[in-house]
Amino acid sequence: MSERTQTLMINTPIKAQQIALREATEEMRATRPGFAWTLDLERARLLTESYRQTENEPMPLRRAKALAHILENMTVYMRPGEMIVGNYASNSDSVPFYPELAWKWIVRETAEGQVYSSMLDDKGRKELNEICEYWGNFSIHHMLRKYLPQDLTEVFWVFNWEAGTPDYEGIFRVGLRGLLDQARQRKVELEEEYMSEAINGEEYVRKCNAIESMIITLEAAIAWSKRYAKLARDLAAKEKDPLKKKDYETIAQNCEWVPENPPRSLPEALQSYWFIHLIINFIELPQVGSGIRFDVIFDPFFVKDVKDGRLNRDEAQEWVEFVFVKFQETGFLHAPIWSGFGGGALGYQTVTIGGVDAAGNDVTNEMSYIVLDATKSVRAIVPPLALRWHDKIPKKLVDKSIEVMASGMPQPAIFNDKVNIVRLVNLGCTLEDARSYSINNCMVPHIPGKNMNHISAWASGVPLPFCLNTALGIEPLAMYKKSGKTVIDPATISSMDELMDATVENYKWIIHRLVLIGNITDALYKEFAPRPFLSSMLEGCIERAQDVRDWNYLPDYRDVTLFGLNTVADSLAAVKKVVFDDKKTSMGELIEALKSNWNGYEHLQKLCLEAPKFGNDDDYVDFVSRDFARRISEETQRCMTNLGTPCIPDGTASTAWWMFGRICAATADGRSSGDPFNDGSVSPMTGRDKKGPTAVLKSVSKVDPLISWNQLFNQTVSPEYLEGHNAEIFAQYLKTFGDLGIHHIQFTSVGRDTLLDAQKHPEKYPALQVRVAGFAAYFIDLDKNLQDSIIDRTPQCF
Amino acid sequence: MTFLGSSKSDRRDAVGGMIFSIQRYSIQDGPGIRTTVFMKGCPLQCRWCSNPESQNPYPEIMVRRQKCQACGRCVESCESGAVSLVDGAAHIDRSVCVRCMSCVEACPTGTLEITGKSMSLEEVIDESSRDEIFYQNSGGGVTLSGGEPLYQPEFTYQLLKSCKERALSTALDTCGYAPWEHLERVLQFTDLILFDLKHLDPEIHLEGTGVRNELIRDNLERIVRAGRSRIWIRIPVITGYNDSEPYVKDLALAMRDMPVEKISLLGYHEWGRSKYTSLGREYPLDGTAALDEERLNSLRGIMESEGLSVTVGF
Repeated sequence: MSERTQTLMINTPIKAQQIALREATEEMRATRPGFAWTLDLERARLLTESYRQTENEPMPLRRAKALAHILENMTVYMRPGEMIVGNYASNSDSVPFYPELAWKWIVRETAEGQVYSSMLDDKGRKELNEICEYWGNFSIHHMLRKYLPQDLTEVFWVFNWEAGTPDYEGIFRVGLRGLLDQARQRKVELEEEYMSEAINGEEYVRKCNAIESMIITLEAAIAWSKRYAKLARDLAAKEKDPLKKKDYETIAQNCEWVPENPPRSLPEALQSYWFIHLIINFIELPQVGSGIRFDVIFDPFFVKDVKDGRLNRDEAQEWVEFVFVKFQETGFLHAPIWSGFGGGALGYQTVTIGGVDAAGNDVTNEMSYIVLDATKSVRAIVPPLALRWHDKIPKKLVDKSIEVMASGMPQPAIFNDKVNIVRLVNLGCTLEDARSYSINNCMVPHIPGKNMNHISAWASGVPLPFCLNTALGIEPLAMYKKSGKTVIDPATISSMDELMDATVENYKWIIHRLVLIGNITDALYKEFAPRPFLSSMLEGCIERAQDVRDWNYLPDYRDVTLFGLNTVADSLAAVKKVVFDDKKTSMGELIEALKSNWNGYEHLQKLCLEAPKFGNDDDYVDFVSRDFARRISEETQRCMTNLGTPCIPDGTASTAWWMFGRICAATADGRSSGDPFNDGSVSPMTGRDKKGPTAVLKSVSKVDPLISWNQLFNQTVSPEYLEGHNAEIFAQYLKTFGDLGIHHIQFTSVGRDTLLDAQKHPEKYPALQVRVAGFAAYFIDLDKNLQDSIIDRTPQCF
Repeated sequence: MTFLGSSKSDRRDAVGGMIFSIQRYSIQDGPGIRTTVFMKGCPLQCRWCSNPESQNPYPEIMVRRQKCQACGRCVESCESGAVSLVDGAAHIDRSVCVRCMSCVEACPTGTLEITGKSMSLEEVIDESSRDEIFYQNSGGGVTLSGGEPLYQPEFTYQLLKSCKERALSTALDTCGYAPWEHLERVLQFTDLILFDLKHLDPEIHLEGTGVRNELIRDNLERIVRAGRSRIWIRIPVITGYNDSEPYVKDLALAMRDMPVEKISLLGYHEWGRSKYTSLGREYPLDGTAALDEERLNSLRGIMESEGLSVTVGF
């Protein structure tokens, strides 16, 4: 790590740490950057100003003008020492909010005495109220309530985040100026098309609005970058230190040129990316993910710079580090419910490396290694890295990745091309496109530059063990909405299969309702939140003169997140074993035991715990997981989105497996009331995988991701198993992961002792990281119970 | 046969193997990713043994006191009066216990566990071949360890033979204390022999392990002469027992002309201590310091100066 990026990193607020807000001591807040974060009202203020001025205009133009108004008037700043610039809130310690989506929970949670009260002062609270008064029920999430049929209010849902990845290759070829030219040309053509009666009046108006809105936002983005150029020039003029003066001049030159023009060097390309990324993910609307194939996109610039003698490898790595440091500033204010999910204010800004190109050849290049080296030196949890695994992956890249893991970093997460490419082809992608996929959000395969993936905030999240317990007539611990209506009769049930049927029936009840809610949300987003800027960056939108929400590239990727699969599998297997095979108890007695959280039934709990458990390569239970996953997936795919295409299950379980476990009564697998569900979405239940890491892989490989869904799979390894001779063995272990066709794997590479010590002495481990789900987190920021579950995850001490 | 010790009479050769653990992703017992079958029962009783549950050839009860909630169900279930609660946790008087295992069945917390299980050849083979795809990718295979596999000669023979019939690579981790005909019979099915060598001196060997070493050294020479299997020598280096520089020098001279691929120095550690407690036994090496890496490396230097290929640790 260069000295410059190191200094910068020390002074950078890390928004991903925000979950610790409630637990943080005053001392911690005072000494660690990022703890004293605030809610920034600037974006909401400017947005509202613009909305007030455009009330009778078509929505695409209102959105475009609002974005332009924000970009023109928002504060722009540069922090001392940074070389890649750009911001989305008025200072680096704050986050904006998005009243066009929702405001009620923000007013509620920032009120005096509430979770986020320290984020605003009284003056701020007053202004917040004034802004929100304008929005009333016009915010999309609040509007949804007006449309919900009574029956749909019985089910629990949370809003997901949307995600989309621009076509950076295309953008870098022509610059925003090129896109602007295309859009203007398209506008001329539209007139011709209308005059030749190729399109009707309705289409003409819609398309004109769409194109005009793209033009407005592209112009605004170019003008915005010039504001940074001017600021840098002003700072350069005032700067006495000749080195710093030169840095400001470099920044000014970069911002003057990009994103308007095609970048001519790696620094320009990175600066262009950062501007566009900020607008798309944080200013136009909040959006998770990054989805960029970092090495594919940036290596050509690196190669050219080296060839022309502008940069050497170390300097290139420093520029990448400048971007990675910049990532630390990003984040969202999550609603408290999501904060529990997300383990921080993370934006899940995954960066993808490796994989194959459209022709199936390995894409690994020097930039792949620079990204890994930069991650190792910045030691930051964002951006999370996704490494694509395939048969032709270079051994050197595998070794380098293991080296990064061995350094204590929970990076990179590994995704299997064998699964993702086939899944995407099944969804209707061409083979060439499927091979070009990246990971967006933290788990979702995406094709950069294509109009797919989440384009609305889908209603999501099903804790599967609730479906099972509902079938047994067992209520959740806390107030929770319904999880189905099918209840078995313990007196007449004759096999485990009947219980699985009832569980699936309850899932079906939930999933159809969630998709019905999602479809209304989709319609409202389409009506009230077009994305002109994002649209201009995606292949086909300018050409079709259509917003991203008005069409889609392929049968769309709308998904619903599921968790607790193996808590259900272990439970069903325990019922099969204890009740039906061994006849050690009756169904009725088991239900009584669960209702009393095993009190007085300890012997029964032991029998249930001794039943076969997922993660030990035992078909008895692994096949239950496989079959249940298949049936859940089938039911999900019977739900149709507004686009007339099937909905897909998703394994981005984040930390929900832990959070929902807290309000779930005891389950038949022997789990006590309030304990977490199985980790991730397909990992074994914590501590129940007794046969080591190969057996876990074998179990997981039976739950076929091609017929179930993308599966979040966490494992803990001690660092010593990633070093020396053991690292070689570990590489072969990873190869077998690939051969077995498992979708995903990620490792927390710290020893149990370290974790325990960190729990006792958090002050000693400010930078200790663990993989919690599809992202990494600072261990000390996690809730004590979550820390405990991570410690309990069977460490793979072979 | 008195050779194996008449007190250890309940060997299970005829019905199957007495196994105390089958460990997958073993990476210290031969090349690649392996599955190690730990067989229970050993003719030696090394004072430094870190797997004391491997020594007796019959199932035993292990007590994990920290898990105990003192519910007393074990005490109620015991018909021999061997179980009691001592200092708030289950305690077994091993001199009275008849190993009926009813206390283990009654225990709801997992405090009481059985170590050692009779398994059929098919069961062991099934478990050992489950990681075949990992063996293929890593050059691994199946290792028989213990205890002493040759303490159950017929089962070991059948198991190694079955592995080879399935084209699995095999390794035998042995202390070498077995009749030559038992050893000779399995060589044809054994790709790698991990041969433990504790001490060159018969008297000192007896003191540390309970047996003299003439048979062991003789077997090693015969294996070398047979020339069928690769040989790795493993030397547990025990503080104050075989870690003096002159001794290591002698050892190096003794090994110098042997065609072994590799010699590993495995430093003494105390990790087995809690197992002794669980089995209700005294820890024989109480107070012995673990060997540090530096010391082991200096001993390695002595051996390497004799032209041997030596590693510290696996």
